[in-house]
Amino acid sequence: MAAFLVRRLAINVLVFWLITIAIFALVHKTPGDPIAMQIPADQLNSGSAEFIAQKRHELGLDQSLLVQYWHWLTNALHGDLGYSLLNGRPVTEVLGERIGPTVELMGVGLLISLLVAFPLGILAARRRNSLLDYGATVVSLGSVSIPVFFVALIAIYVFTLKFQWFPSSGISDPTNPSLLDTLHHLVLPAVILGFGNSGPFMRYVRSSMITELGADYVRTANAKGASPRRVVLRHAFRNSLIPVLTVIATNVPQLLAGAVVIEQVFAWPGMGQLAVSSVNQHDYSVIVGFALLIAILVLLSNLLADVLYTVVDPRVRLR
Amino acid sequence: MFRNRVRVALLGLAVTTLAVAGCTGPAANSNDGAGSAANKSLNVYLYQEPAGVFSPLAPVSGPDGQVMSLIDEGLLGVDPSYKLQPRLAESYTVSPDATTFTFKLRSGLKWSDGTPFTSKDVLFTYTLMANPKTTSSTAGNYTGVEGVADFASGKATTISGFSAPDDNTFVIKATKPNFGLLALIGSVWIMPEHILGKDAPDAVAKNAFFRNPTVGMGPYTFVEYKTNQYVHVTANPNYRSPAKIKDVYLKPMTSDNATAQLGNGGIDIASYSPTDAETVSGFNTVTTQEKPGAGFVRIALNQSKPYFKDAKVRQAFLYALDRKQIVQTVLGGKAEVRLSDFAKANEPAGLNDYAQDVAKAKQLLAEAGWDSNREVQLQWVHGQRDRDATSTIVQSQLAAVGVKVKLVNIQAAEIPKTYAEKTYDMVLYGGGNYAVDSSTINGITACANAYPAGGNINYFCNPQLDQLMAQANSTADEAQRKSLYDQAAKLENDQADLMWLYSPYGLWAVNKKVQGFQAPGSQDALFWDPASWTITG
Repeated sequence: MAAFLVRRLAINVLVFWLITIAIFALVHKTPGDPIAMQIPADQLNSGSAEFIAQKRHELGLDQSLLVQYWHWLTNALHGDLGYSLLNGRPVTEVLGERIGPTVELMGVGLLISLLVAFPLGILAARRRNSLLDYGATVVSLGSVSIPVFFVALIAIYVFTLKFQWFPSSGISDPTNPSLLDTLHHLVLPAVILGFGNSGPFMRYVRSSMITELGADYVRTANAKGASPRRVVLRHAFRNSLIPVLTVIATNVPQLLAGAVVIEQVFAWPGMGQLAVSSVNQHDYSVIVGFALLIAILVLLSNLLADVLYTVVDPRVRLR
Repeated sequence: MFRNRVRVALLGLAVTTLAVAGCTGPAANSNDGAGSAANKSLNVYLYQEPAGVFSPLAPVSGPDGQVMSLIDEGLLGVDPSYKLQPRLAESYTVSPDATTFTFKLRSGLKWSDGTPFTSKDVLFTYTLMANPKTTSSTAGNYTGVEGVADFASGKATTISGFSAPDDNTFVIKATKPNFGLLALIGSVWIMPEHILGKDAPDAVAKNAFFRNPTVGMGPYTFVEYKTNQYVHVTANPNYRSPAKIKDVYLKPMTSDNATAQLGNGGIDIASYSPTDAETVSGFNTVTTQEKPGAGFVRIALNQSKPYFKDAKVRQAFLYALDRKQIVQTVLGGKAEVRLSDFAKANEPAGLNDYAQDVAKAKQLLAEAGWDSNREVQLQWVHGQRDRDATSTIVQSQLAAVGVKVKLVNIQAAEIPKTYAEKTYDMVLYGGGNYAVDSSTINGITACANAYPAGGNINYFCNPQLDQLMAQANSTADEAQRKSLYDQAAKLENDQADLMWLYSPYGLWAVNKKVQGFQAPGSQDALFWDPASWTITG
C-alpha cells in the first residue's frame, strides 16, 4: 500500500507539471487582451495607450510566454500564484475566500443527494418493478432532466416571493448574522443542488444493488437465515458501493469547482462564479490558479477512490 | 463496524459543513436593534460584482463607482439631470476666456476620521490623477492642464496649472481655452493626502487603502466588502449634513433575483430591465422611476475602410433602420431614439430624424456605388438582450436595402485588437456620457482622437466639425457656446458619423418606505446625494 501511494504520488506530480504547462499555454494563447478590455470604447482618451502599455509591463505581460511561465512556476513553487489582473489581489487569497462558501454549499448538497439517493436506490432495487420503483425512477428522471436554473427560479418565485419562507440570495443577512440565518440561506440552493445530483446517484445505487442482490453470496446469506435487513445492508450494500464510490469520487472535484448556475441564481459567492467572471474578464492568473486547484482535486480524489476500494472491499489490495 | 464507519463519515461531513457555515457568515452583528429611522439599514442592488478596488486611479468600473459615490466626493458632482453641482466646493468661477477655473471650498470640512480637509488634499489628488506614473487610467484627461506635459516628462516637479493659494481655494489653469475641462475633471473624487501622501507615485495605486477605503469625504464610510456578497457602508458622522440612514448594504446579484427581492422587501433600491417592467409595476410596495440615459447604443462604421467613407452610405444605413420599432419591440418603449451624439436636452431643433425610408436608402446606396455583393461584418459582445435582438433586426433591415450583413459574436477582450488593426466593419456598442458637457463628444468625433489616441474608434474625420467643437469649447459665454454646438450638432447629424440607435432609460424601483432617492440614467450610473435618502415606518 505504501509503495503504491508513493508511486502514484510521483506519477501525479509529473502529470500535474504537464497540466501546468498545458493550462498556462492555453490560457495565455486565448485571443484577446485583458488589459486593453479594461477601458471600454466610450472611456478611451489620449492616455489610454500609455496606461495599457504600463499595466502590461507592470504585470510582465510584455515578456515572452516562456519567461512568464518560468516566473510563474518559480513563484508557484513558493506558494505564490501571482496576482489578479483585475484587482491586484493575490490569487491564493481570491481562491481562499471562495473555498468556504463552496464547501458549505457543495458539502450540504452532496449530503442531501446521498441521503435521497441511497435509501431510494436501495428500496427501488429491493422492490424492482413495483410502484415504489417506478416512483423512484420518475424522481430521478426529473432530477436529471429538469434544468436546475428552472427549478431555482420556480423555487425563488414560490418560497421567496409568494410565501417569503427562505431568502434567495447570499450566504447570510449582514444585518442579522447567526448560524441559524446562514443555514436559512443555505436551504434553497443546497436542496435544489442536492436534488439535481441525487438522480444519477440513485440510478447507480439501484443498478449496482440489483447486480449484488442477484449474486450467489446473497442467496447463501438468505439460505442461512440472515434477516433481509442484514442481507441488504451488511452484505449486498457494501459490495454495491464500489462502482458508486467511483462515481462520487469523480463528482467531488466537479462539486468543488462550483455549481455555476446555482451560484449565479442565488448570488452564492463560490468557485463557480469566480471561474465564470475570471474567464469573462480574461483574468489569466486567477483562471490558471483555479484550473490547477481543480487538477489537484481530480488527482487526489482518484487516489482517494482507489484507497477507499480497499476499505469497502478487503479483496482489493493496492500494490 | 462498516455501518459505524458510514455513520461517522456522514456525521463528520455534517459537522464540517456546519462549521464552515458558521465561519462564512459575517463576523459581527451590525444591527443594534433600535427602531428609529437613523438606525435602519438599506439594501441596494448592484448590477455586477465590484472589482473591489475603490480607487479614482483605477479604470472606470460601474459597480465600484456606485460604491464610491456613497463614500467619496469631488469638488463638483453631476446631478440626475446631468448638471454640475458644487459638492466639496461651495462655488466655482470660470474666467471668460475659459482658461482659469477657481474653486472655493466649503469651510470646516473634515475627513471621516476627523482630519481637517483642505485644498492641499485637492492639489494632491489632481497631481496624482494627472501623473501617468501612478497608472491613473484617466491621466489623458488632464493633458489640457498647464504644466502637465513638463511634469510627465520629468522637466518639472510640480504641475504649474494646479495651485492651492490658500486652504479653501483651488485653481486649475488650462493651456488654452477649454470650458469642457470643468466637466472632464471637476468631479474627480478627492483622495486623503494624510493617508496616501507618503507613497511614491508609482506605488500609490497599489496601496491597500483602496481595498479598504475607511477614510473618505462622502456621506458614508466604507466598512467592509465581503467578496461577491455585499459592500457595507455606514453613515459618516463628520459629513457636513450627516446621512439619515445608518447602514447601507450594496449587494451584487442577478437581475431576476433583485426583482424577486424587490417584491419581498429584501432589496429596497434596484434597477430593472424593461422585460421586468410589468412584474415590478405589480408590486404594491415599490414605486418606479425612469430617467433618460446620458450615453447611447450605437453602431460604428469603420471609416478607414473605403466603402464607409462616403456619408451617403452611412446615411443610407440609418434610413434603412426603423429605430422606433427597435425601441418599441426590443425595449418596450423604455428608450429614446437618438438623432446625434448630442444629448436630447442639448440638441437643436431641425435635426434629420432619419425615419425609416427604404427607397431613399436604396437610392443613396446606388449613388454611392455600393456593391450589393459585398458582405460586411457586424460584431458585438453577446449577452445583453436588447443588443442581441437589435443586431438581428439591423441585419434583416439592412438586407432589405441590399446590404449583406454577417453577424459576428465577439469576446470583449478581442475587440481592442480589431480597433487597433482596423479590421472590423461594424461594431455595436454602448455607453458614454455626452449630456453633462457637449465637449465630451469631441472624444469620439475629432480627427485627432482616432483610436488609439482617443475614443474615435470609427476613424471619422471632419475638420469643419472639429473646428466648430473647438470654438464652442473656447468660450465661457453660454449663449455663444450653445449656438456653436447647435451648428456642430447639425453638421454631425448630416454626416452620420455613427449609426445612433437609442438611449435606454434608467429604470429604477424603490421601496415605498424609502424617500429622497433620485434615479440615475442607467443601471451603472453613480448615485446622487445619498445623504438625503430617508426611511420611514
